[in-house]
Amino acid sequence: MRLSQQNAGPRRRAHGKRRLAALAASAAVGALTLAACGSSPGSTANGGSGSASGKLDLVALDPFSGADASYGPLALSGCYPAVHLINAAGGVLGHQLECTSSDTRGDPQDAVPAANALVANGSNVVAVLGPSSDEILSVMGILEQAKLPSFPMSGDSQYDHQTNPYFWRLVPPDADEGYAMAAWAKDHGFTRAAAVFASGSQAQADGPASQSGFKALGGSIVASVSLTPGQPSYSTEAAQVAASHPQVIFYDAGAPESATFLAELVQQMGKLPPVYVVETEEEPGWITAVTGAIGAKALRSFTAFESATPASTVPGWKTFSTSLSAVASQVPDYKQYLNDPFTLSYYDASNLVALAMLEAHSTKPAVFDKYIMGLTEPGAGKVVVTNFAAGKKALAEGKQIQYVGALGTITLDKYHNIAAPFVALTEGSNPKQIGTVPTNLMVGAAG
Amino acid sequence: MNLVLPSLGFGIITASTLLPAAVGFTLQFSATGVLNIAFGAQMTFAAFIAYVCTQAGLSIWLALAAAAVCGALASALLNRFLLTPFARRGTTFFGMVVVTIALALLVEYAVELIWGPLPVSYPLTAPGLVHVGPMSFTHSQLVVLAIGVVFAIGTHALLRYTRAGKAIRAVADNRDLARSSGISAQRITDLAWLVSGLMGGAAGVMLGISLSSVSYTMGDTFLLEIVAAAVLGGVGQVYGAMLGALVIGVLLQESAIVLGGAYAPISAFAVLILVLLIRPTGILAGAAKAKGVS
Repeated sequence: MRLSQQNAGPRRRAHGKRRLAALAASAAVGALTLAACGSSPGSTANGGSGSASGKLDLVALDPFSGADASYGPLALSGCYPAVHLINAAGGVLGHQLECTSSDTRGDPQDAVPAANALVANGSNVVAVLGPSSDEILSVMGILEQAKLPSFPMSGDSQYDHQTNPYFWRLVPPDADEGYAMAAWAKDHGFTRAAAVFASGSQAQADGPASQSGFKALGGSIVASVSLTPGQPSYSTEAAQVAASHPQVIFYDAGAPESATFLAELVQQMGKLPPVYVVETEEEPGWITAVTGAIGAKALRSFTAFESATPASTVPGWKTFSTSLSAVASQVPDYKQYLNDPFTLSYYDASNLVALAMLEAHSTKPAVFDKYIMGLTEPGAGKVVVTNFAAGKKALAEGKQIQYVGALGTITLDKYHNIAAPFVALTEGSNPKQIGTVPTNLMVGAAG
Repeated sequence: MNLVLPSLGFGIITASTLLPAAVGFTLQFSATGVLNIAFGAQMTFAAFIAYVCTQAGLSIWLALAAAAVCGALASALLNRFLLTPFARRGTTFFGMVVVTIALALLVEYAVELIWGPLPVSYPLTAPGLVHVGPMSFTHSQLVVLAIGVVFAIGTHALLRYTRAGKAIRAVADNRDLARSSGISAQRITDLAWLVSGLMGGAAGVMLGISLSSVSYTMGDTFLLEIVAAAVLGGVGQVYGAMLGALVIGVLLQESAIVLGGAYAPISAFAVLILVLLIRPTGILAGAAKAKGVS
């Protein structure tokens, strides 16, 4: 699985200059925003239940303009195919659903009035598909007070042990990538690792996680180096790593500093030991920059880790795929979203909300929110359903259900964070899956 | 392993790149009075010119020379056709600063538009290491070091032994007095921009070699270190800028050992503030004046 360059990286906080990327994304954003009618949800009452026959809104509260304008369309690209199927199956308790959007501009300050408006005027709002990392800190409290189930597009580690009952994160926490590195290293018999991470952003989640995780598994961190972006040289940092003679390097940094640091490391070490990187180091821009600096051959020692996406044989994914192509007019260039983990998570989030309303016999968020967890859990006598229609039928027959959707089986911990399996891949423009990270070791790394 | 001495070597290499940039920046400022915020963008432009040259088959060192010449010409043209007209209209110091900020953005956008947002790299040969005691250098780094030394000696020779250099010093010291002594201030200003552009262009390519990549923001990012070196040495003091480059370069590397990479830039600038508290005009301001080599 690879994120396209256009929509890569919602879980990483925006940094650096991405004007061109923003421009490139603007076309798709504009089309998707128009498709969502640019509608901010109207009416009143927070935590409202909607009118008897009115439409119920799933609101993408995300950036639709600005540098991270590609994030909002990710949420909608999952919402549209789900709502298409939900409405085709007769909707929920006499209501049709619709996907709407509210633009945070990727700015924490702009996001607050957007969230307040959503809460104040959105009697039909049943769930929020967002916020993203850009604005999560400024709006999550507002959404919690309004008792609105929210599905953040953020791997921010400070939510790893959150207690808000209306918070549901179907994208893996950033720290999981660090635990995956640690588990894979342990599985390969390494005992001495160096950790090299950029200061700031996501690296501050997976960096500490890789180190604490590796120690928890019995390994030792022989060098821990932080790279500050924009420096003219990282020779000293490279020397520190080289002098520690690591068997493996846990690594996460942006393209410019990686080109410099890794070139200096190659100069000092001659041959690199295995280097473990994360999903963002699979972006084409990163690979181009680093390949130019150290050569394609040196990349062979790299292994990338990312959350596993289901195979195309998974029934839930097949249904999603068919529905996404059916709403192609609402989702321009829809094929780029077919294997996007964010798109899949918002498809499943929309279905979970709809099924929870059915099971609770209520469209009141404060009521049906409690049913979301149960829908993901296995249980004796439960019927496994892979789409909304099957779930609706089973619930109507008085059965209990477990929803297994486009993501496959959804496992949520007690903090409402998904526990996704991770896979290891080769690094390069055409990555190949090497294997699956042992779950027991990841759990051990996470403590 | 004690990394203090190896890091000294890395610091000297960083200083070698910083030196022509800081000297070019301060030389131009002292002769023209314009704080050129676009200096970093000019470096970036030259670095991409060198990239084009290498793609055309030139060696990196010939490309460096070509980029330095392009940088010099661009700098002189910039002064003649953009900044001089503003100066003639009586634009204030801060007005000129804003003009150079706008210029920096324009150059940066243009570079991004032409060459794209992704970093590119020079085709450098395999990095064989040369060990000098506990320090180790690649061949490219040694050439960068040599270029830095050549620039230091060349600048000294220019200012000390040539009429043009003496004229630059005279204009820098007192523009009106220099003019009344028969020195063409405009010609010297042009010359200062030319030399500054040459040094900036070379420094841009040296930075690209040092970073192993060239990106459209690299010059702007490096500008902070350039200004720090220039200010540390004493604003407008060419020899001070050389010393400042050495101090900042070594500090950036050594502090990475003591405090860790995340705090290296902070520590370098903390030292800068401390020095300025003790010597507000910079390390060499007084000494250079006394020797008549400012």
